Amino acid sequence: MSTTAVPPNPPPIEVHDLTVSYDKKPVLWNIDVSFPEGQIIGIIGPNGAGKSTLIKSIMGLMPAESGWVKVYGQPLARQRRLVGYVPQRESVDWDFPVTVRDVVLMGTYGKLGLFRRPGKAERELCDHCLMQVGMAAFADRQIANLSGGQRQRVFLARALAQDSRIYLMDEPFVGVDAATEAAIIELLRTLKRQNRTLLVVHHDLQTAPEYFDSMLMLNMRLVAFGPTQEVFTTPLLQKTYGGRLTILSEAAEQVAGTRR
Amino acid sequence: MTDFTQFIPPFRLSEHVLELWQEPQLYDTSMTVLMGFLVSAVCGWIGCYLILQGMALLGDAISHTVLLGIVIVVLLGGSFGGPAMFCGAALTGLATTLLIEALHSTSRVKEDAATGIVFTSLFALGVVLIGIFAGRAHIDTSHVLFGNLLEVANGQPYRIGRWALPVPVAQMSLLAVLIAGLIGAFYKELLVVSFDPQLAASLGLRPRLIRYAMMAMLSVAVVGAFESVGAILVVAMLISPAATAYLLTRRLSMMFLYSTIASGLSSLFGFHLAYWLDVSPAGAMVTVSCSLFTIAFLFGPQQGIVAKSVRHWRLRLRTQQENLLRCLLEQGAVAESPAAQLHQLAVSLGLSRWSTALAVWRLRRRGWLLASQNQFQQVALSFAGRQEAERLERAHRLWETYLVEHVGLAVDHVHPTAEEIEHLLSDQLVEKVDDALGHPDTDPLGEPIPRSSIADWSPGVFSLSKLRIGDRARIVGLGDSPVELTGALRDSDPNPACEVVGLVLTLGQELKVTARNPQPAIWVVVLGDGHSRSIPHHLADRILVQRLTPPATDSVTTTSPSGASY
Repeated sequence: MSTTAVPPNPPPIEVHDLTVSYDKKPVLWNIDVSFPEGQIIGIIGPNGAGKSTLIKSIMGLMPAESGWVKVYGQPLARQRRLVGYVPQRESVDWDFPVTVRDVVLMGTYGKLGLFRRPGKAERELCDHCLMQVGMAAFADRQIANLSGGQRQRVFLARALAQDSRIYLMDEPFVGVDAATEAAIIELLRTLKRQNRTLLVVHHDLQTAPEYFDSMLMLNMRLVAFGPTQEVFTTPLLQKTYGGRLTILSEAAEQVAGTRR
Repeated sequence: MTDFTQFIPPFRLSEHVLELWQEPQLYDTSMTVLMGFLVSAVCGWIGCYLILQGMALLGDAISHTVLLGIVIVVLLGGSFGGPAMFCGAALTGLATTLLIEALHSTSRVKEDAATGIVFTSLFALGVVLIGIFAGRAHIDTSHVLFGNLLEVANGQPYRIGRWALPVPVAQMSLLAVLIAGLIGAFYKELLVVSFDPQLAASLGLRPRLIRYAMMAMLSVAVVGAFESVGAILVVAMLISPAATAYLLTRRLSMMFLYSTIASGLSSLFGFHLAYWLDVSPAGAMVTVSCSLFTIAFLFGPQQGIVAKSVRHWRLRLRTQQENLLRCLLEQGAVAESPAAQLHQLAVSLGLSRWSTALAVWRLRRRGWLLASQNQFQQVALSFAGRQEAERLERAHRLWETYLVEHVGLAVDHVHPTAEEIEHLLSDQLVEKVDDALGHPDTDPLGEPIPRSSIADWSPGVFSLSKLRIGDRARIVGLGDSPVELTGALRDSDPNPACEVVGLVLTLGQELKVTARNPQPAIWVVVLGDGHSRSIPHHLADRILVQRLTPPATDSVTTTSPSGASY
């Protein structure tokens, strides 16, 4: 058969014509984007713009209706080890009977594979990751007793333990204290210096231009993607935040109505 | 009224307990108790995961619908308890899960309602099928619903060497080993799927597949349990030992252990309870199991109701004592000063006589209160008691100041909040508030804020920033200081001094605070040589001093000097 020529340096993540529906209702329309390597990239847009949906479908957690996602030129299924995912903090039950170390160790499960238990090497890695987020003293604590900022740090330590080339983070800055926010951004910059790619869902426009090298502006469809100084402009922000595209939303409702 | 006690037979230790563990009955007893334990333990292990994932209702559903699977297998000619039955049960369990998901995702019916509809329908279908084909299939409804634990020992024994186990017990043991093995082998996968399904999926695990496998496992366990405890009480075995364990620990591994222990206890005690009262052993076991849950709920070390009430009660006692201390301080009932009348104190604090007596007794035991000989009519603060009262007053007034200046509340809103929080703030947080406010001398109402008695370095050594106007002190060192300061203070230096923004201070030098500027906070000090220096907040925090004026003589804060008339 025909051999498709793989470009010599495929981008970390390439999204092609991605359409995603939630409960039969289209929430993302035909997204085309290719993320560059070694940058901190912000995904911004109003509530309901599909920010979380975008990274979930890149991660394969939500089925796409059409389109595909490639990670370094390959389908995600073959490249899972390269991608680390940091879900929204509130998506898990923090009353779960595990310690901080147990949670961070989960980051090593991908590499361990079936039947292998985390051993001394994993434990040391996990303690090192906890140290990087300033939570070394909390390793043996129950997660139920942590504050919001501490929980986010634990999630980040877990992501560090995954040691991925690409990180997708869903709202890591929501509801954390100022010290944690500073610690997180410092950590992201460290990861960036190691030429890792970071996709961060973010909603605070005040801090966005300071945090991100590039930005993807999203509102059900891709409004703009590019270096921060080029896309973080009043006209594009207005286009992103200036109300939904009423016809697009209406069409989505009708599609959903007839499909249900 | 009926005398219910007539229905309860007298309890005889030898008949209802001891004789059952002696020779003619030993085999039956041990097999029954073992079976009860195995069923309960295996269900409990799976139950731990059900509880943690919030799927207890699904467990309930499957334990019922498995009946349909059993009936169909028996009608198709399979033997009761054979391998075909376990497969049939696993399939029914899967079908139940899939049906519920399908119903939930394709209609507006929510998950709980979908569960309710699916499981009752399938269960009812099973009951009806049994009725129709009762003659052909050798199952009767009451057996399936309630089981019979006592018959377990009567079955064909299965011999392994010199051991003889009744077939159901052997089967259940095998099942227990199998399920424990599966949980052990997939421990980390089950953990990550239960805790964070999204992460599990991103790691390439299939949370849904694992969930289905778990439901199949559950169905198999339920079939093993059917004969002995029946369909209805299996639910209790699934949930109650696991829920008991959940209340007692915050470690997953411990949860399995506690749930197993709860299973063992409920089997043993349930068996004897059943013998004594002549009731269904399964029912008795579940009763014991639920009693264990109640005990954990009431007396659990951390989350138990009793432990919580005790904590609340102790906090209330402490609050009352601390209010009493502060009240005495405000009235100036200190050491040699005239003492306060106890009953008047009680009235002004709104305390009952007993609460007051208890508070006084406890405060005296700590040496914070001096009481007159005549039945504690009069009380006064000891030196240590006054320090404690000042610590509280400091927390109270600093918090008021913080609420007014940083939070922006009106002055008349802050007292009640501060009244409550003064008992709860840690010393470190109080000092942090003090620092954030620039170490104020008075609160927004002009009331003096007592000094800190918390030394910053070694005992008796404070930051210069904690000095007040008129205080005399000697410089003893620099705490957490920048390099240029410590460099100047090395031991080798014969005349250690530091020089920052025109500030020259020498170790061992004496100084006196002559003025304070609140905004920005600046301390003006006069040195021994007569020169004065202005020290900004960040440096004042770092310069460590030893006060030369003993705190006992000048730090009494009496807001109402007339209080001495008590």
